[in-house]
Amino acid sequence: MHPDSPGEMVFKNHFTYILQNLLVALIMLGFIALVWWSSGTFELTGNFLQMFLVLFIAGYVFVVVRIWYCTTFVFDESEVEVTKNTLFRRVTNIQYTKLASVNVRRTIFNHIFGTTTLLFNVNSSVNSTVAEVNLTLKTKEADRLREFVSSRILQREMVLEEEKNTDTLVEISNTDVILHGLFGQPTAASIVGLLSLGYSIITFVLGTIAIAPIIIFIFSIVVPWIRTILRYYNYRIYRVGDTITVESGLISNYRSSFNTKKVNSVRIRQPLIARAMHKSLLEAEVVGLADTESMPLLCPLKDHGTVYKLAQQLVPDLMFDTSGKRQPRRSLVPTMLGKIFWSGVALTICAASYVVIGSYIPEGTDRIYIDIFRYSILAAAVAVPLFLLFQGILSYRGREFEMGNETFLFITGAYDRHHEYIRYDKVQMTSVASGPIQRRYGLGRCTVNLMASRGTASIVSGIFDRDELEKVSSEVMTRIKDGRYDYRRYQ
Amino acid sequence: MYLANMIKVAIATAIVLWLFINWTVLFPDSDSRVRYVAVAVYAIFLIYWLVGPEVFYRRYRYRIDDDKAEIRRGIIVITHSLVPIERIHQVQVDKGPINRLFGLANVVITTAGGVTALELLDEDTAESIASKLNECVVKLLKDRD
Repeated sequence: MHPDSPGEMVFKNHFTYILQNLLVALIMLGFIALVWWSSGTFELTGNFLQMFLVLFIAGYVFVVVRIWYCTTFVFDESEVEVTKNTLFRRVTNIQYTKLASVNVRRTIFNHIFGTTTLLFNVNSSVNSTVAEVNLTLKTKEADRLREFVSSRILQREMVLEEEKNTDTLVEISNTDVILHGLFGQPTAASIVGLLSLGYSIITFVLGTIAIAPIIIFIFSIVVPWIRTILRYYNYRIYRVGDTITVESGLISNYRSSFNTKKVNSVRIRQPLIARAMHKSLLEAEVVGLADTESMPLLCPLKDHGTVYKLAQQLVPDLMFDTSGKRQPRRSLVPTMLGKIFWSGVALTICAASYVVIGSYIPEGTDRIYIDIFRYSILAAAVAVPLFLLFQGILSYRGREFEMGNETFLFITGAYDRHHEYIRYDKVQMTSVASGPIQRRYGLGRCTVNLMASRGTASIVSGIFDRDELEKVSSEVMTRIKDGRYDYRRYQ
Repeated sequence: MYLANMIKVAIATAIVLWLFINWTVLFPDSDSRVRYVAVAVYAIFLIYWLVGPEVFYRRYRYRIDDDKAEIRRGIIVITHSLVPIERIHQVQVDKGPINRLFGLANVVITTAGGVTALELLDEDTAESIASKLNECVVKLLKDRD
């Protein structure tokens, strides 16, 4: 650290920042070298493509080194100043009170070189997934800086030793992590993956190998499963004062800390198979906390009672006891009419596909392929309408809406169920929409817009009385007028 | 709105006519009844584009108070939107090329959770609404200080 003036700390990224950013370029360079070596030629002239790639990588290396050399971070008592002086000069000043969260990453690179990457996110929907400050330092230095900045953001003294000794609020075993990887993702993604697997098995049995479905299966099920296990292994979550900290990771370590007042909403999510096992998972909408993965996870797949109890311990001001107000009976009419309409569309598409594609099957095609085509269309013609009609019935039975003192609840979804507890004070905009049949019965759906971990989020309710749904916006306005909403509370 | 929809009708009609005339050349082995299905779908869109603007105009309402902006609009689905002034981050007046021909403008309201707009207003009305909303937002921020 080289203080420029009293109370200031000046940093540059650790040199491993260059290596991390050059990893892809180095792999490409290695690949090109391998190709050259295997072809037996090392001539640099007369091979335009390889020359171009070498120049491109050299240019990329130059840019990364220059960014590393010309970027400085200055931390003082009230703000951080990031200066980037590359081709253009940009100075960004961010007050600590505007930062939403402090995130810590330790990847393999960090472990090897004894460094830690700190990420600080601003409490804003613009650029919410890209950290405003991304700084790699030696671990001891990073820990000291993290303590310093966290105490200014979270307005309490942060002692890392205290955090290390705090017990986790929920025990997550290896089995829980594996089950979360398998059953924690949305059912639609699982179905796509399983259909692809089924198709590739059928083609394999018939003597051909279809690569595309295997790739779809790998990327929709296998890769997310492995990534989830690596991400949520050794999962710990605890609350110290108003600060919630989440730690996890097998190879790369992740730690995120945020104040409870930055939580805009929480979601208890129940994918279909998880719901059949009476399990759910807990997610939070915290602005500035998302990364490339998804909404921040507070609890992987556990039994519903444990998840609900954890939510009450972590964010008690968001949770409230509900009486289970379901959709009114007359909402069944517009719901099922809509499903019948789309079932008709699906049947029409199946019939048209059968006629149009059937006319393109060449003469002499094996009977087995014609039978596969016919039975696939027939299966789709039966399965899709059934899927839609069941979806209508399940959504009618499952959707709920209730208003509490500080938050309101939307329970949405048919196969995958979501319980969303949303703060009135975080609602940015509301809309109540009614279609022609819904209007006849005085019904509608409410869409609530929030700031979210990945920018903005829209949450849509089920079909309820329009007047009941309009009460959400009325309550938001009443809270602003009578002073129950205080913007300072959330700074 | 009519002008914008007429442009869409012209493009869609040209495409459908061209497909209808050249169907047997483009798809020699297919069933020719399919093209009548395409024409039926086109007819539905045509009715929507021709009748929609009148329905939109008759239903469109907005109100600006000291504490909120409300908009009611829609053709098939009617939506009632509410934006508290306290949540407004930015107000701007947009004038596209077709709007400029008729002296119209949209007032675009941006919040942290999304964007909404007051559409197809007189230019002067749009400017005065934008000005009023900006005044309300500035007054709110000054009261906080």
